[in-house]
Amino acid sequence: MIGKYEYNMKGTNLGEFEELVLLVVGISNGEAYGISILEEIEQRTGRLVTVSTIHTALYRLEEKRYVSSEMGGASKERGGRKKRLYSITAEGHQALMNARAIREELWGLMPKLNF
Amino acid sequence: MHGLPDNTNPPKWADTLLELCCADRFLEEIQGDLHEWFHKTVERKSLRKAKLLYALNVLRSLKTFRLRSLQSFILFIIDRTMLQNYFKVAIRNVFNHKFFSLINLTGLTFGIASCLFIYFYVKNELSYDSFHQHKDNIYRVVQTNPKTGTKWRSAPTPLGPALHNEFPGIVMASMGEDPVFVELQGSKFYEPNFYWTDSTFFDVFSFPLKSGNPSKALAEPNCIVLTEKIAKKYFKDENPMGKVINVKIYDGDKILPMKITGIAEDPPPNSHIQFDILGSMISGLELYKQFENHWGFNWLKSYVLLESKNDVERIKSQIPDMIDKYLGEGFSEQKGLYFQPLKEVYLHSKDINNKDIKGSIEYVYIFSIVGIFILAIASINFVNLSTARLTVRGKEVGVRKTVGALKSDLIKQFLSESFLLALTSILLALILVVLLWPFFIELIEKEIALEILFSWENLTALLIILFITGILSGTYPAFILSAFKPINALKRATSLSKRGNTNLMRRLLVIFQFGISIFLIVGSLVIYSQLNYMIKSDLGFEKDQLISVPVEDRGLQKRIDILKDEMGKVQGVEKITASGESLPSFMNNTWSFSWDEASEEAKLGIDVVAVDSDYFETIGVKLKEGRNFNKSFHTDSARSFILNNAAVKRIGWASALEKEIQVGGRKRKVIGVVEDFHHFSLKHNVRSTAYFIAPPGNRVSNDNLIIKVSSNDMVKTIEGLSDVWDRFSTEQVFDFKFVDDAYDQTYKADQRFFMIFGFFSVIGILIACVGLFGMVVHMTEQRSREVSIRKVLGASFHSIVVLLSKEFTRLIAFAFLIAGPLAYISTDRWLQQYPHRIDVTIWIVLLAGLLAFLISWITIGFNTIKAAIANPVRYLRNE
Repeated sequence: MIGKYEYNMKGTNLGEFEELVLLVVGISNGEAYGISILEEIEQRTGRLVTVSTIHTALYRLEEKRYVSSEMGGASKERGGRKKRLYSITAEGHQALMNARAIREELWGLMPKLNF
Repeated sequence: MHGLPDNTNPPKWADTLLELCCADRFLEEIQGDLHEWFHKTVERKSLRKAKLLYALNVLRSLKTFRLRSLQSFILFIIDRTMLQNYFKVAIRNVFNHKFFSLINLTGLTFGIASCLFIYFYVKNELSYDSFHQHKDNIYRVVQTNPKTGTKWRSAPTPLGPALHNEFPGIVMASMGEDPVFVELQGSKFYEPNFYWTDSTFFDVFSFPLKSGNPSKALAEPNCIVLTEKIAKKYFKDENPMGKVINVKIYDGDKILPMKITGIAEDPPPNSHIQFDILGSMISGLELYKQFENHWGFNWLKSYVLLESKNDVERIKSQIPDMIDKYLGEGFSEQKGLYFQPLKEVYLHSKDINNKDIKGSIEYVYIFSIVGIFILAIASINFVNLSTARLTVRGKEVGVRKTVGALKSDLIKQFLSESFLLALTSILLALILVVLLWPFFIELIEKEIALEILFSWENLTALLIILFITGILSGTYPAFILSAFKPINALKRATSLSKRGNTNLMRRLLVIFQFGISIFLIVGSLVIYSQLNYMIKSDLGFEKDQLISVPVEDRGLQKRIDILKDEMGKVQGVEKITASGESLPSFMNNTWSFSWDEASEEAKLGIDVVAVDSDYFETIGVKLKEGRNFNKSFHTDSARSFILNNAAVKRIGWASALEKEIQVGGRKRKVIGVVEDFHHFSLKHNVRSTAYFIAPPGNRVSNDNLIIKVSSNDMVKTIEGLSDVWDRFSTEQVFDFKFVDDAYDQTYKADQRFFMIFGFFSVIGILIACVGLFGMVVHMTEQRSREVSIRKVLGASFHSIVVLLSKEFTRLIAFAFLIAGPLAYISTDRWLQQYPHRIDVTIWIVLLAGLLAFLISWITIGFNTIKAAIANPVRYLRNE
């Protein structure tokens, strides 16, 4: 599959939005699914995100093995469709911590700026 | 599924799209999330906006990596296991209801076969002249008279050079028709399809040469190109190239030794240009030098090849100037040129005076409509029988629904059934077409090879027919059946047949079907009556026992008087005369005609016919006034005319006697007026005609003998005539035709039209009857209990028959009321093309209606009577 190959090329770097999604998955670990993540992000950041953006991010994270998923319960308002519930993996957690460490290191180097 | 109110659901089409395209792996999550998102959005935004956003989201979700593979797409649409089941059930159903399946199959098979035949006919008509490489830029040169609007096909010799000078880019090909006699090792062949032409003929048209060089074959004088057919006839398997054969040219009265320089492939049957031998034009022009600058003698069929389509308008606008330049100032008022596109020549030449083109776009339209009619009748049978069988299938539908079949499953099932039947019908129809092909060829009198049946184009056409009939005839019953409430379907079956709308629909379809049938009957009757009228009509002379003998031999034409006298002595010859035109004749000579200044301005034409003094007596035409020619009056042979009544009427004189008219630039006196008679068929009006005595050796001179023979021992008389002929001519074989037969021949195309129309009408009506029969069987079956109870209670045989045939009779009456007037109007319009025509009387329409009733009563009768005399116990025992 062409798609797979492309995503692997991107390596294990976390994009900014992917990091955000991964964080939200981590917060409600095992309970997170498309819409819950979307609402969390919209609430926290005030950004308007489309469902498809979230799905794409989740799909990529799964490709990088940062999240795992399993099918969950259906509900009436989902038209009888089941949820796909995401939880963060150890690698995912490690990747988040790496990203945070890099940032903190960089913050430590930041001179005091007066604006 | 129905938990939420309908209006707060996301748009269904977007959901279907998603289900259709999205791979199963992603579908569950995406659709669920989108639905949830939608319900949340609806609370905040307007419904319309939410729906729109939902659709946008669906589109956005359809990333390439999420799409289904092709295989899964097909499998998603067609459930294989179920499909197998549908077909299994379909086949079972076909066999369980053998009678009705048979009726459906017969109707559809014959309908499709007829449709295919008509399709091939129409396709062949439309394919004429389409094989030429430059077909889009070839035009036929047609002369016109801008004043009268008449058009004629042939062109004079100087037109070619003139067009060449004025419009350098064009290539012109002219064909000069000239029947010849070919002498070959003692045997002689009469070749009517001989044409003078030159190498441009091969530049313009795509008639390939088997051997010989197209640009050189006709470049030298005295060269000929034979078609393969003729080469085979003359030389069997020898190589004819380079051989010299003697060709006797009749009109030129000369024998030319001509060298064979090329062999052409036979012109395809769908070419309006048909030739057997082509001779080099240089020799032809040499032979007819007197016409080199003669603009009045039209003997060439001319075609031009233009560089591009845009040239037509430019050239057209310059034609009047050209005419004025070459013929003299003011001539463009009475002479014009019209460039007719090649693709219109075969089908759109009705208004152009020519005898060699028999195609008609009208026939193409009429037959296409008949084909569609027949297919409609056959499909209606299918729809009607299927919906009528609802009562029987209702239970099955009920059970299927109860065990969980969805509406769509049922629709798929019924559609597969109708497709199965349509497919079987198409295969049977193909077999039928192959079997009946020779019959079809004979009917249309065209050469079409059976191979054209198996082309990609036709396969596509067949598939289209399959889908149209399959879907059209399957959809309606499928939807009606699948819409049943299972509880109703499982309860008494009869309650279903009372469903108002299906009953109404069925009635309308029967009305439509019989409307078409009545239309076809009226059409056939009108065409037949018109044909019969034309054949039986008085032509104005006595055509019986007349034979016409052409004298093509130029040498013999000069001695025609002696031949006539000798033939007159043969036993059985009652009268004999000579004439410049045979009977019937297209009239080969039209001269200018005037009687005063105004008529001179109008540039009128009159047909001239050379006759002997005993002409009118022989063919039985009466003089209206004046006297006949008299050989002892010297002036009669040079200065007198006899006009026909049409000419006198055209002039407007009360009496034409002793008045002077100008014909062909010469003043002559009118000595008599004859009653009009038809030199050609009744498809044309009698034109102004002048009869006169012409000396031999002229273009118009007598070249036909017209002989009245007595009816006893015709064979011996003709043998006697033949013997006399052989004493006189060694060059031409004795040839003759019966005048009445020859006139009948002029209606051949019309007769063929009637045969084809009538044949397909009968098929259409039969198919409608088969359907009606099926409906009646079904209905009597349905009402068998009712009829039995009525009989038990004392109903008479008569009242039962009336009861059962009442409904259909009423429907056919309706059909008649609608189709009758329509048929009346359209056939009346069709008849307008004939100057001598019958009136479509109300009687023809009524007769058609009566026929329709009779046919349908015969169809209904058998079954209603069977039902009326059946033993009621048979049907009531099981109750």
